[in-house]
Amino acid sequence: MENIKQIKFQNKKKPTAQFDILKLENLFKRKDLDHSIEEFHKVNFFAIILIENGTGYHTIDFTEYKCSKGTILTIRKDQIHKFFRSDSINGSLFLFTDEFLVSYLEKSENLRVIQLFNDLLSSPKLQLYPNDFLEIQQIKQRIESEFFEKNDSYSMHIIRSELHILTTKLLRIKLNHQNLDLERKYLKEFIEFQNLVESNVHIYTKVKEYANKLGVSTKTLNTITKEIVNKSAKEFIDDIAVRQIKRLLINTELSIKEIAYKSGFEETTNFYKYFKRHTKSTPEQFRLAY
Amino acid sequence: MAKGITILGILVLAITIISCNSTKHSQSKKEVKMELSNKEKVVALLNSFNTGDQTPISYINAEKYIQHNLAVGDGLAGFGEVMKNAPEGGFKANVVRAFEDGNYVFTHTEYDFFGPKAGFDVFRFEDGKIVEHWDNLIEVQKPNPSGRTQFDGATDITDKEKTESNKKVVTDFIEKVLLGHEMDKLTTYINPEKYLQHNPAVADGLDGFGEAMKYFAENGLVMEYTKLHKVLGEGNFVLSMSEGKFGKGEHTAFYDLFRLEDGKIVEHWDVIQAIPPQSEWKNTNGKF
Repeated sequence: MENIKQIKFQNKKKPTAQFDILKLENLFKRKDLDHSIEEFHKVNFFAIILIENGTGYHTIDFTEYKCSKGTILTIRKDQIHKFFRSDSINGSLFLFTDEFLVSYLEKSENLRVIQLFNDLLSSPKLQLYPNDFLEIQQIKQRIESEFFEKNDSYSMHIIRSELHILTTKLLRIKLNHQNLDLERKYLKEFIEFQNLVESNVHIYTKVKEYANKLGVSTKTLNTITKEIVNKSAKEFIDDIAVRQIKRLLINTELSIKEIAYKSGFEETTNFYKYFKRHTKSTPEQFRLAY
Repeated sequence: MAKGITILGILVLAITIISCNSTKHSQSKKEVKMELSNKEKVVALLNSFNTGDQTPISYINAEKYIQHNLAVGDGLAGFGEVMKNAPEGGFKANVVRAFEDGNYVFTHTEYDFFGPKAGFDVFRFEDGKIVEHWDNLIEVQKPNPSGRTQFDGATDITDKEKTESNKKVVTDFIEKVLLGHEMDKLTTYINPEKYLQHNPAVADGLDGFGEAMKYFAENGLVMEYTKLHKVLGEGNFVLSMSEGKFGKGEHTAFYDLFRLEDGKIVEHWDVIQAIPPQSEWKNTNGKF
């Protein structure tokens, strides 16, 4: 229980540190925790989970990801996630706000780091090969040693840089696994479009509206999404809209009517039709299934 | 700075919980959930084979535990008897997949149980306790002609809103194609472009399926499904438990696990085990 005390101490001492580490084995130590960590919750920070031993599941949004030695899970702001309680799981959970890492990086670097967490670009789950696992584990050990043992006025600066290395290496491994390249054509434009849709999809749903905002033609927008995610711009907008609705269904107690309104539907019947068309289930069925 | 407060808030909450106080003053809006989920209990129970942890035994109802493994005696006593007779080093279990459907939990596990075995287990819960158990076991074999093992392949569970419709697809597949021999309906249920096969003797695709059937016919062997007993599912995974004849006509239990994408079967694992004659049964509950 030594580490836990330190975490608590750490947070009291540096409430603005914006960074923390939790050991999974400590989270699950008790058999009958009264708990909220396994309940779905929305995280307001970035999280990286590294599984070092054992097996279990971790739910992110609408998928239960099987975890085993060498599994990396990346969770970004707005995603909802849920722990699977298992004594056999060993690993670390790194948490940081965007202020901790991102505000310290220059803009283009910031844009790169964030892509590690972009669930529309790649899966939140990454299974490391043994040699990559060793490398990542070494970085993890250095971070934990700074955090739990050294813990002086240099530590947070060192951790920040280590975290930058960690996220960049993970991004490289992830994109290599999926044959993606950050320098590839249209990726920058894609991310710009994605960000715009994610924050406006409850207001604007037409491709034309986004094309106007971005100062490109709808044809170009289609080329961009086709190239990166093999979907039309309209399909991509719908995809984001449906994800956001699903999150509201699972993560809030809002009525269907309120969710419809929040998602930009004035008529609940239209909301039903829209949701059913894209998920083949009603909002109620979806909520019940999770 | 709002984010800073949030991160701290959640951490403090987690820490308070770890420190094991009953935290009745917890600000959690939802009702505080003490119990492990049924799936977490089953995984803990199977993991206890490796650790010797006694706690998960308490997840089994001591008064009522209906055993359908015909080589094991009924009740918790039967389970205890097996564990007592474990070879040196005990049994080992690696839960590869775990699913929950209503009061049922089903798992796909790599066992060391008197030698390496692949197994499906099904547990039924009442009031948070295990009251019934079915299973099917087979020796671990070499990778099949497509290089797939009895365990590898997809593990992530998604599409939970499609559980019922996916169960319907598998039910129809078994009733129409395997029981009803409507072979022309095969591609209605199985994706002809992508069918990943984990049966140790069969290759990927419908061709693999066809070749296996041909081999059976030419060699006077049978693979006949006579009754579908149970279909369980969680999201994109569905397990079916069926009865029939296999090989030279032996009375057999078929457990088939399917993965579905867009309403079609794209991946398959199975465990096929002979049902012993009734004279050898250690309980009277039957295989299904």
